[in-house]
Amino acid sequence: MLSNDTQKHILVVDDEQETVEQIKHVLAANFKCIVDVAYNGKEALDKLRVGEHYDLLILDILVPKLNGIEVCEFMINDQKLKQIPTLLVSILPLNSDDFQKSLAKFKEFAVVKDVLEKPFSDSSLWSKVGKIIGKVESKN
Amino acid sequence: MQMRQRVGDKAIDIAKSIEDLEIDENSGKVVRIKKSPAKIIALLILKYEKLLGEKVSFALPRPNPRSGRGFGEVSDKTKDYLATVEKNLVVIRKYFE
Repeated sequence: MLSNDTQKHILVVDDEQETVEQIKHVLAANFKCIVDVAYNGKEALDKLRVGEHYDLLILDILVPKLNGIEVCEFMINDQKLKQIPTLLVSILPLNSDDFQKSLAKFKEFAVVKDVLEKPFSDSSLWSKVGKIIGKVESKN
Repeated sequence: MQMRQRVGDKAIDIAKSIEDLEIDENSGKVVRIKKSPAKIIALLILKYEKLLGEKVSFALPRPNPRSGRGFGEVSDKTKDYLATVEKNLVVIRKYFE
């Protein structure tokens, strides 16, 4: 199980309950962490702005109210929030050449550490989260 | 169905390639959308635009004029939904094309 010595605090932003449950299950089973959930971009920003420290943001691009890219734009303009590593997820082709070029081109993606296309397997999520938040250790 | 008339059965193949979208192969009509419709619409339009190499105009459902309710009387929930769909299209055209 991946985890650091300290408990990680992770914010999941997705409007699809099924995906939220999958992510929560993978995180709970593999990492020592606390998971918060926001179901739209505005709710995510509200949680981020409260002052809670997050070690990772798992952010769907196409969420209602404020989309994921608008959340990223807000984050890069905030000294504290721009430090939060972000895993971008989407039904859209994040591994396509066009989007990979956009990742390099647009400054709003400066917080993005990795991307994951939906639908994704538990192991691919586990692997990408582990690489971002660091060391691992079993809860057993 | 309109896309099928425009580009042929390739339109159906594209729609069928989307896991969360169930299509009637004969009629070309959407039978079921298993996840967020706003996301599925964005992905479908992106795939169609890649195929055609041009922007696809997308007509969102409007209220029935016979009902006497104009577009301005659409519920706030519907307005929010339409706004989300429109914003998703901006995202795909800026970052995925």
